[in-house]
Amino acid sequence: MMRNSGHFNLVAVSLILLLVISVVLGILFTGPLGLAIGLAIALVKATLVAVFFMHLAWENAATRLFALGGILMLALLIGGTLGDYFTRG
Amino acid sequence: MIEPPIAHQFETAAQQRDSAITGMWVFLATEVLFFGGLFTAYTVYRVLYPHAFAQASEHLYLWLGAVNTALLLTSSWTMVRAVQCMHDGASSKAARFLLATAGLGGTFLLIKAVEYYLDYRDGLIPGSAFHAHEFADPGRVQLFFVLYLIMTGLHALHMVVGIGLILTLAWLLRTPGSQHLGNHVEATGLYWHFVDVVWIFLFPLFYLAR
Repeated sequence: MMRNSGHFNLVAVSLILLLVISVVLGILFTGPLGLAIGLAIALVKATLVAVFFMHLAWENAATRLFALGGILMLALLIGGTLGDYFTRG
Repeated sequence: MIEPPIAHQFETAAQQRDSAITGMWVFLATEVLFFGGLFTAYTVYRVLYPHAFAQASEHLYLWLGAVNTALLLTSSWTMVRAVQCMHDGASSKAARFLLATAGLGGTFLLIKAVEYYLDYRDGLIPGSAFHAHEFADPGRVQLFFVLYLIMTGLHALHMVVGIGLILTLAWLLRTPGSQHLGNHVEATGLYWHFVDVVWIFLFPLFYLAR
């Protein structure tokens, strides 16, 4: 896949559209479902930024490994902490 | 593209570029965990006190948060265009995109400052001036606002650093023959996009948690 302005413009427009969808759904849905929808859209937006704007689509394996490593460590941190908090008697 | 001078520890310009970029990603991995502790604290207390967090979230200015998100997303686009211009050897055009990025970031901070003032006026700042009588569970609601202020504050600090780096690069690019700063612009771009990604998650966690 080549990088050109067209791709980046398309990603930028998608990001703004996702933001609008996120705000509308955030007003319509409240509670845990509303937050879950908001976070799911955030995950899509963050992935678009990381893969295209941060060039991960074109980087070598070592660089991608560090990007994934940070996320993995964060998942361990949050998962481990929640596992502790919610298994206490 | 105009190749940068190759430092003596590198064999090729490509190797030098990969070292700079992978190095920035290593730093960003540590930044993920730097913010990660706060995201973990948020997650634990959101699970423990869902009602207090939902009630607190309704008091934030959703529209200011949404406008700020749009500004940051747009600034990531101007940043990526600056990197692309450097790659094409158009350094003065890159400098203009960098200035646009810094301008959008500055506007974000201005709106955030106004928002903090409005939050203060609404009595949402934890402490003796907190409007505790408005909430059924003031202690837990204050916990939400403590996390809100620390996390958005730490994010704003990162923005100040990013704007400083971007303005410095834009200044350096004014001089002719500065096309070799491509790696600098690209690495700074990664940092800027990372700060954008942090906000992408802060937005639903605070403004859409109702």
